[in-house]
Amino acid sequence: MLEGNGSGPALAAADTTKVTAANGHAPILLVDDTRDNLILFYSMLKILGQPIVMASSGQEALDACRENDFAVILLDVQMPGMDGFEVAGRVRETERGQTTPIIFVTALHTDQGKVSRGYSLGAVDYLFKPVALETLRAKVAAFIDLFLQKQALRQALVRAREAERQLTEQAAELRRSNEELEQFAYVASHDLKEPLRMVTSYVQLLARRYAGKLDADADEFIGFATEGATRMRTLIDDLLKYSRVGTRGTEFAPIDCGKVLNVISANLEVAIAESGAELRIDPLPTIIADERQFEQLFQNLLANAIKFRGESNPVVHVSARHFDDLTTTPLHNGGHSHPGWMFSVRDNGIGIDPQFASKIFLIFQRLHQRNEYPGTGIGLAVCKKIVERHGGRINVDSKPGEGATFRFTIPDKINGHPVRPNSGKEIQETCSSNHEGAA
Amino acid sequence: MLEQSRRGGVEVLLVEDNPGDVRLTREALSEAHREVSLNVVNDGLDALRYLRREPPYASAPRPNLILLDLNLPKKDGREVLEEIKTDAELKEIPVVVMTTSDAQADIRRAYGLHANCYVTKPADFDAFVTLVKSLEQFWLSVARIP
Repeated sequence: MLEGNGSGPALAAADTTKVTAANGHAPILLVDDTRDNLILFYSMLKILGQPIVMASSGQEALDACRENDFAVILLDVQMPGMDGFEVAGRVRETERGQTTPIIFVTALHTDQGKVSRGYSLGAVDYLFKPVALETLRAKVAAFIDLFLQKQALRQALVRAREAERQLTEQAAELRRSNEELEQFAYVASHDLKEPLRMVTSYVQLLARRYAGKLDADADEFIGFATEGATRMRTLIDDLLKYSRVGTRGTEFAPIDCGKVLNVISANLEVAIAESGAELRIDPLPTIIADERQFEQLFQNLLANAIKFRGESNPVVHVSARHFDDLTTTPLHNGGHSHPGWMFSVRDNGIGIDPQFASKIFLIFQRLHQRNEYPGTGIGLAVCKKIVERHGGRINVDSKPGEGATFRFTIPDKINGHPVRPNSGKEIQETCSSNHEGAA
Repeated sequence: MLEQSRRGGVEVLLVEDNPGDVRLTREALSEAHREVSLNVVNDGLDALRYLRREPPYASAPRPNLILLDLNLPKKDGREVLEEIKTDAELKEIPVVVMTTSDAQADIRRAYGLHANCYVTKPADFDAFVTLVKSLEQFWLSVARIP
């Protein structure tokens, strides 16, 4: 077995039959029982810059084929012992040699019958001695190109599969950590309520028993403590509400949005009457969604529209429009094209400075002082979470003093089936009528 | 009920490990202006010893009403409830489960073990007073109990 790598034929007995299987290498196997022929082919092909393995018998050739993936085999037909055809047949039986291109090299006088026998053994070509330099190089170079292209394709496929596997893993990891976080928020806020109950109750008891009986400072201190405890309770309740969007969601089912809006109008009756608000509700579709969460979503948006009213009586307009492709709406930035509904809640209130337009959807984000507009800043964060659980997006379009339009999308379906409902079997708790928002 | 009033008060057993809640219950009862003798034990084992008049509760009065927390040391409130309701001597005493849990699973389980009533501890004192008053009003005045 002889091996060379473009630097001259290794005519001394090589101790290895394996050539480097590095990327971009397309090894060539030369098989001939005549050493001079091997050297001749070697010198003709070394300019191609590929590793060349030389075998002086059929057995050596088979050994080399078990060790290497060759781009092409140049196989002499006339050899003592195992002839070229037999070698070819046995190469085909090796795992690595099943599809390796084989070029038979034979004398001109070889009859047609033998030629066709070669083809039936999977030879891809014949070269007749004496071999012309250019013909040999061109044929071998074509197989090298083919081999390198296949190699590159295989590698690209491996990389794509690896990338896909990583993506799947990351998505699963993300989902798991989100679920853990929701669970954590739920447990933490639940456990926080217990000591808080003690603080609230005893500060209240202090206020009941001792207000006006100590000095003015004491009354003020008790006042601040009471207020702090009350606010903390609201925050914890809101945090619970937020975490429940993910953990206590219910199965998606067809819901009539018109009916949902009727329920909400009734819930907000007092706020509507006090503010003199006018609700203009367009015909609304039936969609597949979590009914409780949809109530919460619309109620938060409507309550905000009434709460952040301007000088005139609030007018709130709710409408919906179907899109064959939601990516044509300003809410979806590219992504897969899918049909769905876009809902709008437009008001004539104080509006929002566009620079805060995305901030208002963050949890506990408030734009106003507590004494101007009360609230913890959870309402819109809950809205965003609900919309996203349904596979949609939410945004706001507004300028100070010109009212605000909240828009959100709900895709008809996601990936051919309704958005994954959460596993939480427990009936979602009624959201309180406390609907502070962030705007 | 009239008989009990004439005797000058009713016996209530509170099974509660949190001293803050014990005191809150006392304060709420005192604001409810009702003469109630409130006896307190702090864990599940003591609750059963008390009810069965085992030492050191040999001379303990039989309560007219039991207020039972669910999360208790040594013996859980659910176990205590189960033992009371399967004990021929004790099962007639009304048990009001008074706990922080608002989980459906806890509520169902408590009624499944024959709790007479399940209430959650309110988040502030005003609501606590209201709750204790209404419990007192219902169980010690409206309802006829053995």
